[in-house]
Amino acid sequence: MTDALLQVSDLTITVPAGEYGADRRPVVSGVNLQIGAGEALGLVGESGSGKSMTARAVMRLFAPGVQATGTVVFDGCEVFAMEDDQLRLLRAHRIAMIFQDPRAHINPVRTVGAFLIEGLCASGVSTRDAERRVTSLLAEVGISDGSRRMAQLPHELSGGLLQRVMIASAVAMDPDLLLADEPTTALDVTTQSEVMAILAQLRTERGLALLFITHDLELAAATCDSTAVMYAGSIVERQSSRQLLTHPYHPYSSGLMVSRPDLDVVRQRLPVIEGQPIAAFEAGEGCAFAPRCGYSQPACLATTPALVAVQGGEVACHRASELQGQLPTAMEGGGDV
Amino acid sequence: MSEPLLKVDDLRKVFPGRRGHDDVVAVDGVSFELAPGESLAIVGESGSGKTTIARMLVGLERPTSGSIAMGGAILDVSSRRAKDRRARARRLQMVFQDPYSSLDRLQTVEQILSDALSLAPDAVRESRAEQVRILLTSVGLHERHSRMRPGGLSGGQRQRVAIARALAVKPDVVVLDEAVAALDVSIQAQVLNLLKEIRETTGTAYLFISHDLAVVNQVSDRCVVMRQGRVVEQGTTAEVLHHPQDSYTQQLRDAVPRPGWSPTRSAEAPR
Repeated sequence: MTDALLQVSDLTITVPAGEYGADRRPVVSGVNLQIGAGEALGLVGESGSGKSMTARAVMRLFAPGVQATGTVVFDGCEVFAMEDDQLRLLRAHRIAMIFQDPRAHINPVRTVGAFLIEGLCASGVSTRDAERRVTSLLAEVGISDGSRRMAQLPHELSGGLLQRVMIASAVAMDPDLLLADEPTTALDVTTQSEVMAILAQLRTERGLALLFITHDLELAAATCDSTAVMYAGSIVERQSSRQLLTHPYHPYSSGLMVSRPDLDVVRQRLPVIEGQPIAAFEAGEGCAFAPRCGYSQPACLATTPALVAVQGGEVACHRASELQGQLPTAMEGGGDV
Repeated sequence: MSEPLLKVDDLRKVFPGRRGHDDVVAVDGVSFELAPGESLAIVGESGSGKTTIARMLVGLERPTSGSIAMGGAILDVSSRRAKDRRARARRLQMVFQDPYSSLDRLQTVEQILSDALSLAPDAVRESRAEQVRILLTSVGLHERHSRMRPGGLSGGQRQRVAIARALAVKPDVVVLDEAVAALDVSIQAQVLNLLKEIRETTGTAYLFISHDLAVVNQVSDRCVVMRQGRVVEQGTTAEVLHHPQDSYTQQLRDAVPRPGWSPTRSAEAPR
């Protein structure tokens, strides 16, 4: 596949363990994913699954001491091999990122306007033109009184408004790919709905590709073309969002769907995934999910399943073909579809 | 209908505005009742006043006006006297959203639970260690956890400790303020099942504060929907969620992602 906008191959990320970093712990192991131009991929996982680290690797945003192997190819260029100035251009113009907490990523003592025009001015646009462009960007993300907002400081804006400001700043340089790391997790549901609608609109109008990271499988599936599920640093399943909801291949995906409470059905007991999520370095021999899996067999603990192609997607489960069509889904029990 | 366990009448909380700003009316004339053993949810988005109500109930905020009565007697929630605070703590306990900040990280789980048990009203036959063990078992933890400190526990385990601490005094009501919101999806289901089980075995009433309608549907008998300090709708959870009378409740319902859902932008400009 050479035509993908983003191609991540065999990505493994390790962090130093202990004070002196002599040992290294994997947090992401052997991740492959690709995103075509204008496509949206949802990346779903619980804490420690490695989803945020995977996204950061795309921009080579690593804390000191973090090491990565594998390749990240963006539009034909190898990100891990880039020189500093190339990397700066990539981060400024081609890929943008938004985060869960906009307040942690915006200078609290400068105005919203100063923050928004900074990138444009740095690339040679005059202040006046930059302000004009930013005002129309703010209108695009649903902020009609842009000029008033630009004179305000970040603390004067609500979380929902500030996330819109972040989105406006992310798309100001007209990037090809947006990395969104839990952008709606801290927001109210109605605001989440609006922010997701804004992202959808920007995608269609600008042909923006999206890597959407979330712990909410249903949100990812409802808003992305395809969805990948991560567990313990590896992708365990990827397929079209539509099909994932009705025909999950991996018991973990199915478990995530059915353990979520439903708006319409009250259950005596929610079906649970026993135990707790683990990180890649905590995984033992064999399938990392096997100790929590209701379908595991002795063979599951012996060898690690590889991610293999199945109809319409990929799955890493020894029993995928046997279990196909038998795993419970969120659709059961009468959700209003 | 039996005597309500908890009766909140025309509760109001106004925070004075800072530096020339207007006063903030956080809670504006809220009334509701909680029957013994009942689970009542307070649903709303940020700024709806739901947490302020919880904080007034447990005495962390003083109401501007209105009353809170427990078992027919007006509870002087604003009293700072140790005797009154202890009496309130025996009947009403709280579990917060973030077990990282609501547990003392220097104490072992055993110390945390022992402190709570020392508030318990009557002498019991079991030794303190035995009581701790029983409490841990009741929230699905093991005896070995009693020697650990919060830092050594996972988020889900910490929240179980916070629940055990609340249950130590066998309270009539536990106020759960977004108690499952910060948990991973798979852990959230485990804790919701635990809460249901505890209510069935002990008859403890819950005041369950949440922004998540699906969670509320799973745990509560009745619910109160709040917006900007006021109650917009209340009734049985099934009624409110399936036949919402207020357009705001409908809006909240429509915003929940589910199969076949697509996000919508409301026509009104954001505030």
